[in-house]
Amino acid sequence: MKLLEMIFSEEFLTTSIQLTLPILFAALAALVSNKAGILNINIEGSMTVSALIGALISFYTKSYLLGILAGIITGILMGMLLSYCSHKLKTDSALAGIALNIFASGFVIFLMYAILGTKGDTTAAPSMQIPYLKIPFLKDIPYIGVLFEQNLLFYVAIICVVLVLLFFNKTKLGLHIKSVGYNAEAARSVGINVNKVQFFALIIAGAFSGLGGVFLSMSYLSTFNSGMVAGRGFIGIAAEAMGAGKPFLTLLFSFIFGMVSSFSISAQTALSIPYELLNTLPYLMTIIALILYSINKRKKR
Amino acid sequence: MSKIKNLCLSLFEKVKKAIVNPSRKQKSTYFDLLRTLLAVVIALIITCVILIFTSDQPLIAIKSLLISPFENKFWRSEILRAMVPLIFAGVAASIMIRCGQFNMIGEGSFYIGGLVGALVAIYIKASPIVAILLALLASMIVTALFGAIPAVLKAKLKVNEFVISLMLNFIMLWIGMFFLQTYFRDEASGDIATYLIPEANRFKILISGTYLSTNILVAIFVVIIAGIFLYKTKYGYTIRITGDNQNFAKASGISAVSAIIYSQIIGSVIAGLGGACEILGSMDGRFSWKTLPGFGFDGFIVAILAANNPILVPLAALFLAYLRTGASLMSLRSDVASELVQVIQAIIIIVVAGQAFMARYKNKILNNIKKDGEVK
Repeated sequence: MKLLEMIFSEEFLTTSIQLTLPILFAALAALVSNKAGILNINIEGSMTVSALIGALISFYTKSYLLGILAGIITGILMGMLLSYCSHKLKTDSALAGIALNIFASGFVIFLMYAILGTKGDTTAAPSMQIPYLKIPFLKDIPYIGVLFEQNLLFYVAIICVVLVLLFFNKTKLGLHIKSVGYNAEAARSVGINVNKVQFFALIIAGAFSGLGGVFLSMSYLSTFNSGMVAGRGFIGIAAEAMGAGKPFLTLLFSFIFGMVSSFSISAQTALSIPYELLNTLPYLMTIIALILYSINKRKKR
Repeated sequence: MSKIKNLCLSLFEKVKKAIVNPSRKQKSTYFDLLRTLLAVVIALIITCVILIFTSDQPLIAIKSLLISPFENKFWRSEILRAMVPLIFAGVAASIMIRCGQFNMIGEGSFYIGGLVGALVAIYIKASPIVAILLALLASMIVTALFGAIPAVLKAKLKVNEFVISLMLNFIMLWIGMFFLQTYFRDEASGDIATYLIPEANRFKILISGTYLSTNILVAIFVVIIAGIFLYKTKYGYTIRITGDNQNFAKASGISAVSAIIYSQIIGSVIAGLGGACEILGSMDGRFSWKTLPGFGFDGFIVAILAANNPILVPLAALFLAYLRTGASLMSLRSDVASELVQVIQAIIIIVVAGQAFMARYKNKILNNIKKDGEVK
């Protein structure tokens, strides 16, 4: 009973939304990369670096907007770096992604130590918090009213989902990205510059990763620590796979992953299951979801 | 005696011929070696530039990174000690990459292998050698079971092994933490750690005055076995063919599915063995890892440097271990964090794996040989 009460509380919904956002941004990044035919493993790394840069810039400028902007730019730079590696140096994009993830996990600690003199977290330089937007009247609706008193990035994320949908159906670049991902050779034969299109896709993906990163270090927590992304970039890739490249389905699956994460946190007080085992839930859920997805795909064939 | 002499002579002739008059394939190998060296040099130059800009004592930092690891016997032995887990991780990754599998389970397998190895060594009642062997065996069995999960899923359902293995790593970590915290924790240690492993059930120190233990012998043994397995057995051949071209493998009646399964299980098992060897040869004598140790990703770096050849893995591992030792010295003696080494590694991988890096020169050199051949 206690469990049901917990699940149907506004608090649970709020936590779920908070845990959904980084996964959703990662999933959108994966979606755009995937549409362009790139397996973008670097989302995790981009999120990590963006989270740190966003947090630091917001601390030094005392402006959360500049922090967000810095995070987005960092994500874009990471995307450009991946593009350089796979297009100019012709490194296999999976390998380059792994390398850039290694780079990211070392670079953030190196930078943090060079600037703040600590390797743990940025408690010495707490980031500016991204504010919550409360929409009058709408927020008073019972239960779903919670949806209208969320973090600024919540609304940004919803708008992004709609924009991504429009982008792929209405814009030239969006259609080019889709055609490159569908068949790069065919796209090349009608005069589309494949590398350029993939470059733009990686930039967009980078911006989404950046948003996911700054949400973690500037809203979910008020400091950065090096393990904070904790595989969310990869869970995002899984959510995108579940959503089969459709923005709203991706949103739905990101939310399911967010709820599972939220459950594993709140159940620690409500149930007597050890927290270590509850911690495995989001990852276990990802594996099960990927299995179901591939079984389903096989049936369709 | 004369047999050995003949063997040496013929080997010498071979080497001489390879240097004086190399075949196209040999020239290509030299070129790849040169390319790798150049990548390393480029990465080190970038590092020095970063250090000059970020450190207050760049010269001390550069010196302790590059030269200090060789300054005395202790630090030289530390390089070898750091090399041991990298060898296991590198061999594990090489076998999986050779089969075309990007599986990161080495990370979790190192963790679980270390925990299981420690537990068996602590609680078993047996003579030391049997105890160590059983500890290693147990860690291999458990990691084989975990390794089978992404392997079978990939082979039977085509689920991406990369994402599955990453998720599985976190699951292995938390399952391990659960058992460690709930059942096996030594409260007196003041840490989340197991009880001390009895002195007799650990690997002995190999060179007195250092921490280098006999687990390095296990690592070398694994390299040799893996080399024989990959290049001299039917199973190894199947793995290589599957990795080169799965469709060709299928068309010629080779079971790619089974190669995909056992390559990943073997990878997981070698990493698990590495974890157990690392803990049983460590100086604190107990298991106290609270996060994933990072050797899964390290394995990939080593494998790429070694061109996915287990025989070359010790060399690549030695180089990486030298960098790591230098990095810890650098963070001890200057104001630079040792994590800079990860930045260096990333640059090396990207450049080494970059097909376009120096490709033009390679074609030039190889084409020259072709012309020479025509003249002759």
